[in-house]
Amino acid sequence: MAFDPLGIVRTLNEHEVRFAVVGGFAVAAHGVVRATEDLDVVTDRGLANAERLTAALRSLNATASQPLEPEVLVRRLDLRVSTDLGQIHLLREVPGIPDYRRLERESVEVDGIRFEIPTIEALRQMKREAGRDKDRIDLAELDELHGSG
Amino acid sequence: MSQVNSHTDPRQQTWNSPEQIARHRAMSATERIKLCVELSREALRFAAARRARR
Repeated sequence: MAFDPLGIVRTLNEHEVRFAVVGGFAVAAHGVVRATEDLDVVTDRGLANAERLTAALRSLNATASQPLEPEVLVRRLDLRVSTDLGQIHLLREVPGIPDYRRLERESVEVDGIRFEIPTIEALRQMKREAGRDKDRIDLAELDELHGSG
Repeated sequence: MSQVNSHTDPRQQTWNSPEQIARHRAMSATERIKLCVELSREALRFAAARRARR
C-alpha cells in the first residue's frame, strides 16, 4: 500500500471534517522538506466534527488501539490510526498543539485538494512548545529560511 | 584551512550546491508538499524492504 496523504486529506474534506494538517507536511509547506511516516492532523473539538471524522475514518477502513467512535474522537487525542491510505496521527490538547479554533491557519491547494496548515508564526510557536529534538531541528531550519522572526 | 575531499559522495555535493539550495527555496508550498509525499513514500518503501530482509 502506497502512503497517500493527499487521498487522506481529500477524504477528510469530502466528509467536511474541520481539521488542519500539522507536523511534517506543514513544515514542508513552509520550506523544510523531510520524510514523514504519517499525516499529523489537529481536529476541531465538538461532537458533530467527531461524527464527521468517524465517518471519514470508516470510509478509509481505519483501525486503532481505541474504538473509532465519536465518543472517543471527541476527547483529548494522541492517537495513531492505520487506514487504507496510510497512517494518520490525530492530535488534540497535547503539548505543542493549539486548539484548532485558536490555530492561525492558511490554505494551500495541492492537485485540487485544499490543505489547511498553520501559518509560519503558528508553526514556529508549536515547535517551540513541543520542544523535542526534531522540533528544535525544524525550528532552526525554518529560522534559516525565513529569518529568526 | 578547508580542504576539498575528492572522495565526497556526489549526493552530498548536490546538497551543498548553492544552485540546488536556491532552486529548493524557490519552490512553492504546493511543490514542497508534493515533494514531501514522494520522499515519505520512498522512505516508507525503504523501511519496509529493510524489515522484509530481517
